[in-house]
Amino acid sequence: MPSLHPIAIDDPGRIELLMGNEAIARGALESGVRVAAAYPGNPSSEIIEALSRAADPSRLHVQWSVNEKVALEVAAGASFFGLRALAAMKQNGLNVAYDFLTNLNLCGVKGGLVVVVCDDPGGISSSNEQDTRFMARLTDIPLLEVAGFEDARDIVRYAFDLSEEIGSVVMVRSVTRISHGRGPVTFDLLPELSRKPRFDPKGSFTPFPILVKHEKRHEALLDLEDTFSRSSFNTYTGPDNPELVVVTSGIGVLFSEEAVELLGQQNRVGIAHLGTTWPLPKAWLREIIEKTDRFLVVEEVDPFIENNLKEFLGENTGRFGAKTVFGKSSGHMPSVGGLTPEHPLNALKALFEIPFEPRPADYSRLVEEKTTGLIIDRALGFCPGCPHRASFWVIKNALAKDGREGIVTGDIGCYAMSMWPSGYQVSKTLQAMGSGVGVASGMGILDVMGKTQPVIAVCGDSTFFHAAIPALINTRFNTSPFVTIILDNSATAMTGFQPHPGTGTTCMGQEVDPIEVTRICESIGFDVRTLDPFDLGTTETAILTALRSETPQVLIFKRTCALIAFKEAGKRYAMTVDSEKCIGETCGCDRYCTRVFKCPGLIWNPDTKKAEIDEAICTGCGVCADICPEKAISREAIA
Amino acid sequence: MSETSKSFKTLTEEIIKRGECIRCGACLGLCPYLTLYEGAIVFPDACDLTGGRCLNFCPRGPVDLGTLTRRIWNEDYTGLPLGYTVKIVMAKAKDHSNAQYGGIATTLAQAALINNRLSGALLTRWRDVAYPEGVLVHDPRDIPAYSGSHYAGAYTLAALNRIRKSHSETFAVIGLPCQILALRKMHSFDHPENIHQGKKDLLIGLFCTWGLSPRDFRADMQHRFGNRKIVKYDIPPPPANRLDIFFENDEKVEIPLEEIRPLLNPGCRTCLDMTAEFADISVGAAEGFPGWNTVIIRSGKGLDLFDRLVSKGAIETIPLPETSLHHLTNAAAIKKKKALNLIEQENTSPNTLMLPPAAREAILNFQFSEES
Repeated sequence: MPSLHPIAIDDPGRIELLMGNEAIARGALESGVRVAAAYPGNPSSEIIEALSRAADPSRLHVQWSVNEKVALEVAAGASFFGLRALAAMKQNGLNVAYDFLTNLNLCGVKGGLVVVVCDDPGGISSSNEQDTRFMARLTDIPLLEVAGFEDARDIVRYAFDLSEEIGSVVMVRSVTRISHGRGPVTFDLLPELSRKPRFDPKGSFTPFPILVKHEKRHEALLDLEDTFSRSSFNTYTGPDNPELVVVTSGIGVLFSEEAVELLGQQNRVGIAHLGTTWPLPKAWLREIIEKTDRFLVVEEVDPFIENNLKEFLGENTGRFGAKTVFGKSSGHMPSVGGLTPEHPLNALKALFEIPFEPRPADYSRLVEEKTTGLIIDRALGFCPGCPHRASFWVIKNALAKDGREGIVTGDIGCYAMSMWPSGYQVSKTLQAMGSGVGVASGMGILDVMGKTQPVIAVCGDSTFFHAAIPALINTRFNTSPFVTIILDNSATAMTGFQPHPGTGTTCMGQEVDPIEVTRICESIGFDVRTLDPFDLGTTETAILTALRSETPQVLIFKRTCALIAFKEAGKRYAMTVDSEKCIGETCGCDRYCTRVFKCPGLIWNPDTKKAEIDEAICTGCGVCADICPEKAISREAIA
Repeated sequence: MSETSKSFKTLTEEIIKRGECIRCGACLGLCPYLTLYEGAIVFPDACDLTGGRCLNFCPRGPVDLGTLTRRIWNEDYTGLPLGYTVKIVMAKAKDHSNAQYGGIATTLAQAALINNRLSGALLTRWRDVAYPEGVLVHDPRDIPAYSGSHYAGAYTLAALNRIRKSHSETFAVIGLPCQILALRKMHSFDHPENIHQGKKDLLIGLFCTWGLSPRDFRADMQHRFGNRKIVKYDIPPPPANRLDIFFENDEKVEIPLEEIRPLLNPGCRTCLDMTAEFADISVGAAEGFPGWNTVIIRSGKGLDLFDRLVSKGAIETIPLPETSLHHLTNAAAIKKKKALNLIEQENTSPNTLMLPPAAREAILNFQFSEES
């Protein structure tokens, strides 16, 4: 069992420095949450990770679900039995769960049910950038935004109470800079968990009659406008008659406060912090609007508050008169990406024509001078000894040998890096989890229309369980000839090694029978071949054979993630380069290992003009020995 | 194509991808960037060196025929249809039972091993393998097993690149005109990694009008005959206009050449050389004389070997009839003219083929003689 997480300590008044996601988890514990479920995804993963270390089977069940839709369904199941439940996900995850959410909104809940969505502004660890706040409005559910660490804990507690009060799922939105930032949180009481799960047989949770239920949602939102107007999560700080009010939420609050302070404009600029973003707290907002004629909206990703504010102003032009809203559409704020303190700072500088340089003019140059040599310029790539490198090496070579301009379709996971040089730029499509298989399923069927290019779809093992299975069934059912390669590294590696159905352990540390990818594929009807991607020759032959098949094929490349394998068993081989044999950059090699294969465990010594092993990071996978054209690299098994 | 351009890029973009490769194999077996798979050159990764061996060995890479001819024979390249010749005769070997025609190439290779004490003969194996390939034979008695033509590009020289890493000796090589030209480049390219530089291999050339694309030809044969074992291919001299396929039980199938033409290796269209002009001795069919070869002796080394075999009675010769010489000369001249026209019209092999202006004129303005 993993060690107890500090968020589980029942010590009111204790101050802990918590990550935003941990503060959210603490908020759930202080709310008496009984079931928490999620599928890992940055920047949301730590919520469940923290809760799992506070779990206790009879009091709090925490799980990594197979995907986000199932996670939300699991949480809803507990809610229907009257218990408080939480589902956490990243922005892409909400899309997966959204089919369920857009029914659940009409069905209502019993126990408090909170969906925490952590958006990734800038798409730093995502396949997209997406502002999920619009999705709360679309489903007519209340939306709360966290703006700090203790605030995150408080908002989550309020969300649970609100959910039970109005009988609706409530959405809490965080963003990377809060989820992954840290701040002090003063602990409150952990409640007694006295509720016994019970489903009232007289009740039901269905969307029918749809119009009645839909209308009820709209009525609830109207009521909430007033409730939210009295909420302490919406605050105004600043002069009574400001020249401009910054309307902001999330991380924008801290950044706006910093900007106003740096510019010394506290007497001219007020800050309206919205914690209850949807529905708009109209009565509260009215008071803010009447303070001034100019507003600057500071928010991350898309203009959600900005558009809602404009809509509200538009409805009330008679009352408010002419007001000006600055923000994304005026060009004062960026139309995409995350915020930095400089965004509100520059906007206010421009609006007030204040000369202010937050940093010396030659700051960039100074930073560059100080950091040159300290920061290694390196591309996004696979770790040393990563099985994916070997897999894509073989796929690349097999496609070249096949000679029909074959392509690879993929999705998001470590193996997404196959679209960059580390994976030899093999992958050509990337969308949602499991989409590589689905998209390929639509390509294979084109053979009869004259398509000659073969297609390989890749997906990871965790992705396989998450979303690739229906696409694979579709492939077989509709006979779409292409090759699915499941890159089974026995890990949800990209998000931090969370267990999945194939690993044999649950989030709470329970040992379970691993669900075998092979058997699932076989039961769909595939003749599965399992290969070791480190065995380059056999694997290449298997791909070439599969590519020539006229029926759909499944190959499983099984090799544990290098980080796990190295942690568990250390180096497999001691690797050496024979500098006599290494011909380096001359005709016949041209630095094949360091320039083309590009494992970071191999380094080019420009002085000796030979390749060397980087002992500090080489995991001893041994693959480079098979790559070297001069057989200058050798491996010796470590007992 | 200057030496500052990347050899690999030029070779793959300008020659291989444009269908100008004639599948001699000179660029293969040198490095991991250019490899052979089922009759095709595969290049998944790019080398970024300049002045590399691949392009400089390639008969479609930079070629200055004037310099080459002066270095080999101390003569100018004049564009004569049959190239530099010492003697042209018809010949047949005493034993030519297995041979395509007169068994001269086999006998010469055997003699090179026995009399000239060369350590091996580089030949092309096509029986019992999916795709033809180069093979080094050390025992003269094994040479006849590799006789006969296959007509598909065999990349024979890839084997030589590999073998010479561990065997620095001199060999006899039986090769097509493109391979013989490549070997001359390999012998002379000045490069620290060039293991062929200065080697004096005995070059036995074969006449060739065109070759077939290995993958396409194999697919066609499999389509027609499945896995039936083919023991001999033959394209009889005109006007037969067909490809004959021989099976083990002496069964023969005739295929009209028109059906085979789509399988032609496109790079062969722009080849100027029908008779292996840069060989020590060239061997081909003798039109109208089944069981005989036409032999063009081009160097002192070739002449010595040939004359010794004649004097020993291993080879029987008769003069080449004037008509046959006319036919051969005309055929070689037509190939040259067509190829040069194509090169100039299509701008293929850009800047790679250097011809003395007089030779260019001679090729384009060749006067075809009437049959006598």
